[in-house]
Amino acid sequence: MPLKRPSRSSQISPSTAIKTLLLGAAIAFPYLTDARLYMVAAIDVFIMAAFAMSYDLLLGFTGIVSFGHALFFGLGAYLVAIVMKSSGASWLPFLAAVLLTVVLAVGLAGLIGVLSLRVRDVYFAMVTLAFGELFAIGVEKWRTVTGGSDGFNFRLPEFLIDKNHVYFLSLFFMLASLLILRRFVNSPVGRVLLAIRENEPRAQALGYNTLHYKQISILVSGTVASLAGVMWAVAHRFVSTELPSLNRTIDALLMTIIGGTGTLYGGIVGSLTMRVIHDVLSGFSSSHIIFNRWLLIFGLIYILIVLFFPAGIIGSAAKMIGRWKERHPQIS
Amino acid sequence: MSSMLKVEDLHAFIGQFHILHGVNLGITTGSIAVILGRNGAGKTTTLRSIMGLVPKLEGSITFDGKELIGLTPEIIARLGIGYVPEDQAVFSSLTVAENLRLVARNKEARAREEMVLELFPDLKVAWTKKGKALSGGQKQMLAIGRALINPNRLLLIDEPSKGLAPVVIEKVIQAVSKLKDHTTVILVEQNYLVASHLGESYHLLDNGRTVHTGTMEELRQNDDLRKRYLAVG
Amino acid sequence: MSIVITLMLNGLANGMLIFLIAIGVSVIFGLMGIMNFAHGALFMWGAYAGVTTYLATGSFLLGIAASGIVSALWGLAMERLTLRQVYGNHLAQILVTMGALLVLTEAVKAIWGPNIITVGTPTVLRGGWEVGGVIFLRYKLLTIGIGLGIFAGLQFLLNRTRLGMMIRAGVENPEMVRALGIRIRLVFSLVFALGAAVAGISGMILAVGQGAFGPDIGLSNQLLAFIVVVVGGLGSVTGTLIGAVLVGVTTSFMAYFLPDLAMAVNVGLMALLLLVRPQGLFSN
Repeated sequence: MPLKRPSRSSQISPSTAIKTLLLGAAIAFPYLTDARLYMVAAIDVFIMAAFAMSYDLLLGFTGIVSFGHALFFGLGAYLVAIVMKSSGASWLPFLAAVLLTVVLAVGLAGLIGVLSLRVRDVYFAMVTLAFGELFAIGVEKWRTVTGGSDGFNFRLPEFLIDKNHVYFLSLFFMLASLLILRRFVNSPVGRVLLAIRENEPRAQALGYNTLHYKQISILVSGTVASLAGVMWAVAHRFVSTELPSLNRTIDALLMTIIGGTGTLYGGIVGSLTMRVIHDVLSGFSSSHIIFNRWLLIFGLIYILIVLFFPAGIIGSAAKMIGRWKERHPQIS
Repeated sequence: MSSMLKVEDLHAFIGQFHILHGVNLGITTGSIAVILGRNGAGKTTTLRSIMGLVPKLEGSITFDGKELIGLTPEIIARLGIGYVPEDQAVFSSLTVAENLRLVARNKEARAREEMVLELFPDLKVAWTKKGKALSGGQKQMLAIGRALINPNRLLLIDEPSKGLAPVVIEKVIQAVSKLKDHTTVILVEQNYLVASHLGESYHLLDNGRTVHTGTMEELRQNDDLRKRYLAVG
Repeated sequence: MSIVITLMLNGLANGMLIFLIAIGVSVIFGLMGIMNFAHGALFMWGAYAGVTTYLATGSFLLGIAASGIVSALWGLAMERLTLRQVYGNHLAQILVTMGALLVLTEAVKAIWGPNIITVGTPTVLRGGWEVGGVIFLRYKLLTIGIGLGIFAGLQFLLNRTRLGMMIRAGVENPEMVRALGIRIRLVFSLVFALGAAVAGISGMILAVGQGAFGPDIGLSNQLLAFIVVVVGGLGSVTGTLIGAVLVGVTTSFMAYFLPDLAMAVNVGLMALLLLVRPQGLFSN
């Protein structure tokens, strides 16, 4: 017979404790180390985590695949970069560029949704791929404005140049994205999205205009992704054609799948995991050429996860903990 | 006489729905058995279960002593079972000839084309027509003929009279009654008149269960049973 | 006027190549409901394997054979090892084929390096004729010839053979095909391998025609193939041919007058079609 558990209403749950601990560590991080290299990596992890979470909203919560997500990322990054380059390092044009990013992201997401959602689900993947590639080609060809594949540097307001400021801003941005997206998926609209993912015909039969709901999901996801692009531009003060490329979308896809779809947190776990493994593998690249092709290794891991562990790290861990608790009910 | 096909306590599940709750059938060689029952009684699901087209099954289906549950439709078909679904599933972009030749697995089967055309002379007339250009009766004959091309020992036919004009139904009845010389037949039929013309034994399904079994003669005399389950007097 | 005819000819040759890539995408989707996002990688493998063989042996025909065989083997491996596990799960299929695109592309970079490979045009493809100001390049004519030849071969296969009947019947109603005792999985594998082989051969032809190519050859051509199947209608052979010629000719004219906007016009064509006729020009 399992022992009766003591009442834990006054206690903090383990997951809350872990989250608080991690958040504390993230806040303390800049003061613990003066190695700037890790700061840059941490900033990238935060921004990419937000980008991956916006991807999870589509893949994990709506059940549709986008292969053009980097379009929004690149849009935000290039808009800020172009505006800042031509206007100088002041706040007003910066904020105007952010606002314009949101407006354009919503408009583009709307257009893509209208074109692709009416036929069949796979068209969304095809049309987003086409628009994403078109955008990437456009950025490369429009050299007078974008600098072509070389990219360009630009200046920012003084405040945004301090690495500590950027660090906390990115951390804040990731947490804000997490909270907003979580709020969204728990809202009535989010519930309908889950119903669509599980069984679209049934959601339709219940009288929901599923097209409408998917459209909202695309708009929210695209907006967050474009702001992640803005953050990336701020953090690096440099943009290049690598930002709107398919590889950037694949990064988000890999992070979401490896971390775990339909969890949001999976984006954070995936972003961190990929960065760490990437840096470790790159360290080996002098010993064998294959480590230069780390995407090959990630691709194989990704395929195995899709085939055999569709829940990813977070989902699989949750399952394992659940099973372990079942077997050991007295401990917990 | 021993049973060629035996279905014991069959349960079928589609998605989250429990469709069959215990179907039992025993079909003897060389007979025409009719499965009767109201709409939604589980007749079509029973045939689809035998064919391996229902993913989740419990119970037992044996054909010549071999368990069929767990086998794929293509293996079940190759054991010698032909299937004529409710909607006939004639391939609309294929001609009559192609619909037949598609299924012929060997030379012997191709040689049976003659036999099928003798049975259904209408098909010879429509030989080069595409499936979509056929009339309802022609589609039905093509679907049955297609199931006969390979030397199948058991034929599952789902509601051959559905949606056909009375004159055409007459033709289909004649055709099916001639099948007895070639193969054993399980016929699902809503139309009691058609069923009683053709069937030798009956299996009555209700709410996914076998509720009654016997010879067709017994059913003809049991007014109460017919009224209760088939709403015919 | 002669420039228009020359451009039409170029467009026709482009279109034939795009048709050869797109037909695999279209038929595989029609039969199995799978949109193969790795098709461009199979095309790319054809180019690399074919050109490598050609450079090593000096035989263009051996190169063509190698491109078809290698791509077919990759296609077969993909279908057997990955897609077979997720039949019926559309989301997982899209994700797995995208993973295959990534892995196959990275594998090419690991073997051949990320840089551009140059290849001389084989003698059979060199030169051409000028008739009344219109230039007939041998390469373009041969491409059109090979394209038409494969189109005719596919038509024969689909309309005159039992495998073709199985494919057409399977596109309509795969369940019934199985219930008639046909091993549809075997048909799936064959179609996948065949589609991959045709894509691989077209990759080889394109690579040799361009004279230089890199690892981005896969994605850009896959994109054209997708545009073609959206325009032509999924699963329709004729629709794919007409869509491909349309895109090929458009690209050819754009490349002459406004090369920077070629892709924009093609994507625009797709967008327009999705607006006015989302099921494609030739869909049932």
